[in-house]
Amino acid sequence: MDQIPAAMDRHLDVIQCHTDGGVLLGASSLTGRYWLGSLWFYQNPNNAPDVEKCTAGVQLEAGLTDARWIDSNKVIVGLDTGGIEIWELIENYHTFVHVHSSLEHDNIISSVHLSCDNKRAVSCGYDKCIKVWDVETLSSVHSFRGHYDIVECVRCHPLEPAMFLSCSQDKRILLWDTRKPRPASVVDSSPLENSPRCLSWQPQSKNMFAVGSSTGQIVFKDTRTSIGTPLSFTPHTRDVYKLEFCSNRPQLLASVSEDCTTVVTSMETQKQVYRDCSHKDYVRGVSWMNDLQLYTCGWDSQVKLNNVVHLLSHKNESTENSVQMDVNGGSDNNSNAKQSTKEVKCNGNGVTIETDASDTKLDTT
Amino acid sequence: MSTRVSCGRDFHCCPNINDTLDQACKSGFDFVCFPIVNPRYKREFIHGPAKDRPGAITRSDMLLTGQDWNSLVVGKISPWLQPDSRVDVIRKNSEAALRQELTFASHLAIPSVLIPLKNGNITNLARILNEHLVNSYANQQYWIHVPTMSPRDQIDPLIEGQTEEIENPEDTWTWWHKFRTLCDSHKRVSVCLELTPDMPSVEVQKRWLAEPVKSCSISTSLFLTNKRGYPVLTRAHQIFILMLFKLEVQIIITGTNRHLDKGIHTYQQYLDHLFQTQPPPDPVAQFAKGYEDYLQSPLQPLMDNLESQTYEIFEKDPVKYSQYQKAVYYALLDKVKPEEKDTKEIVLMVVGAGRGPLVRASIAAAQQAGRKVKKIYAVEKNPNAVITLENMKDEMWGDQVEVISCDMRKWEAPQKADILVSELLGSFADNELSPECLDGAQRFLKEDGISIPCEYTSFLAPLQSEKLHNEVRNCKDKDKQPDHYFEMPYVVRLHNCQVLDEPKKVFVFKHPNRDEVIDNTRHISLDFDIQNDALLHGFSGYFETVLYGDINLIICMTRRWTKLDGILDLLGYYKNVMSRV
Repeated sequence: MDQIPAAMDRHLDVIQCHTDGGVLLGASSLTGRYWLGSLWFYQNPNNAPDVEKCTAGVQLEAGLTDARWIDSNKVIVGLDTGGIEIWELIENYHTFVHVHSSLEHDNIISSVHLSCDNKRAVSCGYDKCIKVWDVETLSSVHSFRGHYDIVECVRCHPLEPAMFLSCSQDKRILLWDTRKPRPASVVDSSPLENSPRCLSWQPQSKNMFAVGSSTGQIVFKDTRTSIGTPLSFTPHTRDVYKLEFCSNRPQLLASVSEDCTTVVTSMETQKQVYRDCSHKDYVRGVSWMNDLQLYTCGWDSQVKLNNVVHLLSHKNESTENSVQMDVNGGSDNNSNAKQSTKEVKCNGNGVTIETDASDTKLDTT
Repeated sequence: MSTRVSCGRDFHCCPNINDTLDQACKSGFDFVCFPIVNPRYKREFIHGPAKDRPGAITRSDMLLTGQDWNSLVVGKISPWLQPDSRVDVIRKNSEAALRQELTFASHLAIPSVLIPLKNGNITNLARILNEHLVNSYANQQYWIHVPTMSPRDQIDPLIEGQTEEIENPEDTWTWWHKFRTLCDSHKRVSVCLELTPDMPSVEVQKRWLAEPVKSCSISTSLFLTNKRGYPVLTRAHQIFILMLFKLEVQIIITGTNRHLDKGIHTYQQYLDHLFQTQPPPDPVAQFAKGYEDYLQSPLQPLMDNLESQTYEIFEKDPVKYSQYQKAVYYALLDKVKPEEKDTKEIVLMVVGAGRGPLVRASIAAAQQAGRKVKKIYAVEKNPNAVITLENMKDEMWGDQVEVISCDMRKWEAPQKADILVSELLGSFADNELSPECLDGAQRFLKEDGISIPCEYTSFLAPLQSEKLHNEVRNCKDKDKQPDHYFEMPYVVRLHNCQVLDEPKKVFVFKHPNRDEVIDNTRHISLDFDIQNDALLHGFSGYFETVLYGDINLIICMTRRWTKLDGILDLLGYYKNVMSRV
């Protein structure tokens, strides 16, 4: 209990849902006397980010930009020092224990991701480098300098452990396959205008991914050149910071942005399914709890539960707006979602949908 | 030149600045670099909820004392700033944030601010800095962080279809050049050069020596490990750093500690060691210490009378007078055949004798040669130097020497001379009016008489030096035309500069001048071939002179001579620099 920090760091950067219903929260102090960070676990996510009500919490030596669950107890964290750390939750999730750390990056780490078999981790950062790690020992297996500017995001392939995507401020998206002697190939990013900032693979898909730009645009396309027609839409007015597909409903893509909004879009209908404007500052963390619930956190020190209802309008199903997509395992058949013709409006206080419980807004004291 | 190198530590993440400072000092570093605002702390100025974000943008200045801020800290601006973005929103937010950071840096009065250049697209960044320069703390320096090679050329060959070799490497000097031109070569804007794993060609490296490079950033990733496990640099990097040491750069060590068993201080120790391996300065360099790039008006010994200390400085030159002695020696041997040595007597004149060093050299030469010199006339128009000459005559020379207190052009000599010796050359050969003086003196030279020197040639080379350019710019005089100080020559010990092409011959003068009509006016047009992009600030002038036969004096270091004893870098000469706008 005494490892829990006295106060919550103001800038909530990371939120990751646990399979059992809890949430991991990562917070940084980017202003103030000390620029430290902290890692928290809330068995009951409604309690986040209340310091008194956390299940576990520990101070980190610096702020963090990314953290991921390795398994049900272990977490890998990317720090502003350039260090990668592995922490384990023991004593029924009540205590964080430091397992490994490694300081190899020369600058801030911007993104950390785990391979689909959880054996490897990939990190990237402001030092323009991408490193591949063995999770057991936290020793680096590869160190790639393929980008010539800050690498913003890396995302491992959903099916193939040796592959991952990276995007950088040098405006390029690279597809990596560590089995090849020349592991990287350039992915054609059009029609993405401006710099790519975040990526997400569509779950269970071999080739489909989404990329968010520094001007609020999102493009969903195939990594292979000239295959299929890319989907392009611009739900945001500032940088798209993170993208997350829903693992059970792979046509739903959540995006959070520096315009302080959270949006969920359906790749099938290309329609905005959900929008929340209640965050008062950049939204940084986004994580799906299940098909219908999405957690977000931001620099306004707020954690929000977003109830997303998948709206499917029959009328629009076969219009020009829907695009044929190559989703592995057949087309998406989650039509057990509620159907409503009510348009989703953003009223600044969260969305109220008449048939559902309203958003529970979690205020910090 | 200091006795050790000033070495600082770069931090991109600084959770606790007091700890950071402590840590750095304990590891032997002299200063630290850290961000002014947290590098991830992006800000919104135009629209949206984030615009109204409450709170301070960074930590309080009270965390360190004013003294610490002022002497130990170099601030870094945020890496997410893109003032040259074509996206309006990104550009405007970056401009506002940049101004915020620059203003706070001024408020802190930190000695330097590091501003990185990532590519050649830097116009707006330069504009904003320029705007700020006008209003900021008078002594704050802006170190423009430029890599020696573009990051685009430094990626590993990992991409399918990418070539192994770097084709057409980008010239990062042009980024700096564009930037400083937009800042009008402001003296507070200087370079922090970042070393890259590959280094550009030697010519490109040398060009940096003409720039105001104040610091050099070295990543720990560039270090290799020696047999005992200590970090060391490659030979190529060492050579370049040694060149930079001459500009008294400060070193910044950046990147994570890659030698965990040895500690971060070993990097600083290595740089110090490298600094100590510099060869000790040669006597000339030692003498000129403190005079590097210091502009001096050329002497005008014909118009003015030189002072005692000026003569003293000249007389210290170890090479010049021994060369003259050799020249006189050989001249005597040629003039008086061995069989004539007891019968033939020579008349020698030293015109412009000063305090008499050439007289002494001539006497010594005569003794050495075993030839009879009937009379030595020491002609000197400076009545103060004549006092020294008269005293020398009384105490040492006796009747052999006749002291003539007169301008050589006006003197009516009682007899003609066999050998006329003079040292009237300025750094650009004829710029102290040697031809005019000797033309006036040769009327008392015998038909078969010789002049030592018998010939001299001036040389000119194109020069790049922002330092000198700025020095000249600082000479302001409200009574003179703005370009006045650019249109005159200076004598200077060239240091922070680059000569851009081999010097070329300009004008030649021979003595005695037996032309029917003596015309010392000259005109020439020169073509220079400059290999790499450069900025031409002016020209440097040199001379070579033939004293007698193959005895020469030259101050032109790049010219190759077969007889090395002729090469010198005369203390009193330095090199003549002509500056042009």
